[in-house]
Amino acid sequence: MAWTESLLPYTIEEFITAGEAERIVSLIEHYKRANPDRLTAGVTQKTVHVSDTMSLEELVAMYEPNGRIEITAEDLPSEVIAIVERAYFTHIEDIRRAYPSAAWPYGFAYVEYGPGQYFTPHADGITTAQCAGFGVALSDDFRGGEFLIETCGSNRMWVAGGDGMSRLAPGADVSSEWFRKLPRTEWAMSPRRGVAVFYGSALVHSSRPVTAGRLRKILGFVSKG
Amino acid sequence: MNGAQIETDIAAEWISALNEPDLSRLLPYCHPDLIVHAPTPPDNVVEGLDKIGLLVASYRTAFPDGQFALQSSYREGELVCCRWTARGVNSGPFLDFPATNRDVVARGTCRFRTVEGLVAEHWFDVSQYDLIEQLMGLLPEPGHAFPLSEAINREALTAWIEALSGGARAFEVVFSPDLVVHSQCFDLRFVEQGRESLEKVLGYVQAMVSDIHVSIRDEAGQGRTSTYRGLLTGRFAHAANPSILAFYCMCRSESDRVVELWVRIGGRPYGMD
Repeated sequence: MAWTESLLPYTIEEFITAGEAERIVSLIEHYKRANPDRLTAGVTQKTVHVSDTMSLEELVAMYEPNGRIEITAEDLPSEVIAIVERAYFTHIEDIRRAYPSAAWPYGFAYVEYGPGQYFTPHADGITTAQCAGFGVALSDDFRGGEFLIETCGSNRMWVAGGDGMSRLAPGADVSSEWFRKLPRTEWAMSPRRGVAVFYGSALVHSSRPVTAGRLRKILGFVSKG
Repeated sequence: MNGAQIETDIAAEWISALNEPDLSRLLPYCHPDLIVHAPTPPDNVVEGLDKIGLLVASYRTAFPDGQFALQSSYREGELVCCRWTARGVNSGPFLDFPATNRDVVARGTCRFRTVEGLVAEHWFDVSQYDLIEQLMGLLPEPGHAFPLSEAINREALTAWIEALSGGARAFEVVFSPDLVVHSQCFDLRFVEQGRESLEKVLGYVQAMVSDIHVSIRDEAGQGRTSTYRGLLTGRFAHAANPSILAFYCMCRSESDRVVELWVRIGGRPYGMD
């Protein structure tokens, strides 16, 4: 995979229609009413975050210190996945224009942030299976919650792999002191409902706290190969 | 009639002669060493009257009733230039696309370098972007592949399902010899070039699952890429009951062959809670 691909932010406007966004929110609200005890991030013992060294509770506390609602792929209504997958395949050539190794979407999750809630900076990490992540905005009726891409040209983000290729440095998240101290430049955006924001897997991303209303979006990842 | 008038008349005669079914009215104006620059690949520079005849014939095949009309012309030194408009029905194949039977209006320019009153070099320019957009839309609407791609991609899907289900392996007709195969079938994950990679996937899947049946539930696509989602039912070795698995197939075609195929089997079945 080209490094430029892993470092590329990208958007697809009108990724889903207003009607599709409303349908997803309706399905999610139905799920929430039926499963009130399965909504808090981590409560189902599943999260979109992955770590070899941290427990699930530690992961959730690090990434979403003020909590969020999170419904992972195993629990998402299949119609939600069907809508987002269809949108993905309907824009497949737009996606592959930016990420030529893009293949399938996977790992969907619904996340929802209320006032004071946000997620901390991190890079998803380059793996053999993933080239990018993406979020599909489902709501406009909130304030704050800006999505941030945090670019950084420092060599500190990279280490040499045994095969001579660069690797993203371990601990590219707020658990590492070197990462917390690393100067980065924030690119803030507030994608409107229906917009999909893609971010290469080596890009640091985060969000500002929501100040009013509720920010809703679907997360997904782009497999490569 | 002065010299300038004579030479700009060449443009009028040339454009008018394009409306004939053959080169009979063009030939009297052609220098024996005529070179034609045309925007149609693969040969953008055409030399020799026989090849020029083929070039004109290819346009005539695509637009048999096409009529050219001169808009204006002028001369500067040895160069004569003109603007033209052509109207016609696309009732034959054009470039790599099948006939659309759509009425189109094409606009373009011609330039001529004349030697001793004959055309020695000719540049034929047409707004191909505008023309193709009229014919089929240069960028398809979201959710739709190019019409030609849809047909080929579906043929490839049918051939793939047929082979997967234990039937004929009719791969040569629809898959390019340089086909790139992307597999995410269970644990078989690779990207390889060559039609033989299809056999590798087939062997792996059929060794794991028997009595395979695939049903397609949804399709979507963009440009030259089509994606098909559905269910694969089959029986794993030692399993008492058939299993239902997710089935995905994505095809990208160029010209009349599929050049890239992504196959994915396994995971949560599409459309099932």
